[in-house]
Amino acid sequence: MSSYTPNDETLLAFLEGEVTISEAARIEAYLRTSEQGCAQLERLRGMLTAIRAPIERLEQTDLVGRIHEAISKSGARSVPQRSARRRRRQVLAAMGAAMAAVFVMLVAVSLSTGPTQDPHPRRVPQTGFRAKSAGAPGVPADRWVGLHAYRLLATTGAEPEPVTTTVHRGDSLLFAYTNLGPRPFKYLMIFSVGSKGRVHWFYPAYERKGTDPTAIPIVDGTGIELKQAIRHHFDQGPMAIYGLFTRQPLTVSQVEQVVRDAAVDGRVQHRQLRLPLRDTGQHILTVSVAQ
Amino acid sequence: MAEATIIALNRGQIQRWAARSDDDLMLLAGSGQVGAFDEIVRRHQRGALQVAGKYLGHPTLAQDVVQNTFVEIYRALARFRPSGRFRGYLLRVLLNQCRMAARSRGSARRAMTRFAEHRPPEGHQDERLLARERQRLVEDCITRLNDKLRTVIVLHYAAELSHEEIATQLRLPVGTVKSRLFAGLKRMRAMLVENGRE
Repeated sequence: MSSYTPNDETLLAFLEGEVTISEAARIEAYLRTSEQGCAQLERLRGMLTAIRAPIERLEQTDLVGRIHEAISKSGARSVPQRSARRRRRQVLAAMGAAMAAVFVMLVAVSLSTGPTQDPHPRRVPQTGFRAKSAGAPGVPADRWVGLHAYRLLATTGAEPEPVTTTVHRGDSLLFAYTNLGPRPFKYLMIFSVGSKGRVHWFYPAYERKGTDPTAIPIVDGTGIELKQAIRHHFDQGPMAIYGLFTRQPLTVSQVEQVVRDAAVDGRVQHRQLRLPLRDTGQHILTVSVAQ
Repeated sequence: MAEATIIALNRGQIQRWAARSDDDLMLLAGSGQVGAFDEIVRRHQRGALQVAGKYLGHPTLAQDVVQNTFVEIYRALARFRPSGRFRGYLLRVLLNQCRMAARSRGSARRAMTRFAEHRPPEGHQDERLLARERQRLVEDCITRLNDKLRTVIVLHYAAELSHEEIATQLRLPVGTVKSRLFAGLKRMRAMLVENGRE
């Protein structure tokens, strides 16, 4: 008979599958011949079962209501803004005004120029750019999405104003989006392409080289605000701001590759800006960047 | 009728949240979608309660701690950066809250007193009762371990993390995790023997 007697630690390792094959065989041989060993193993197994067993009293507990209450009692805010509610009211008011302005503008444009493309692209003076959707004709998905841009003036405390024709290099931009239709999109990316081809990212935030962030998740609805104001030093001249609505979370590098391949920078002035990405919704604002 | 419609709508919304990843939900919650945060709580509360319950050995205290954990996470929504590791983040906040609760309320000392008072019920041979009694004793043993051993035991058995996942979570070598795990189990076994329960 073997004199081998494993201690508690060895048996625990055995129960946890943390022994070598030869050691396991040795322990099994010991257990076949030792009643005391079997009882010892059962006691340890019982202890492990008790550690694993869920606490019954907590199994059905639902804390959603309690947590809501605690959040509202403590005045906890998810977004570190001084007056998020005030800002929301301002943005909503501005958004309403912008939508009305866009509607009037679209009516005016359709009455004066009519539909379809101009075979002889007009030379547009720098100040003549208009924040206008591009790429919508013939792409039904684009009808259901919208990007609304607002600029916070460099002076503090000023109300955000809708971006129409011009942004300045020091402006911080705020965005809201519309995502409707029978199959609303699930992700959004917002970025700009300037006259020198430089891409600036608003959403997702792209702050460190070597990272490759993905599109942000979105919900369906109208005028849904994104709360962070973002500032970039844009290149002067014409610039396209893209709202790219997707079903998959594309990455920054994937989109930048498409932008490069499509040579968007060379086309900003001609408004043929829709990116060749299938099953996406795109709303593109063309503006001019002033000093 | 109207109520039924509202319930149906809510159910549809909940199903929609359920299809989202944790990172998506956190970002949506950060953009003001309250329902997204509710889904995060619904998804993780059970696991969090079990971890806190085992760590503290006190179900009521565990509920308070889990509540504080989610409130803290809510407060930090604006700073959240998606990385596919929300559960690890949640466990980190939760364990910090557990440690604070254990320190401030002296729950470990109370647990020791309770442990001393426990006696297997004489004459009650009902299997379920005995199993429950045994579970309570073992949970008291967990609360008597020091924080290092207790954390590893709780992460392995209540949060069901593998040795490798615990090593990542605690930034320790896997070998250290294993040695702490077995040291904790050995210590618990010794406590049970010392107190004549084995």
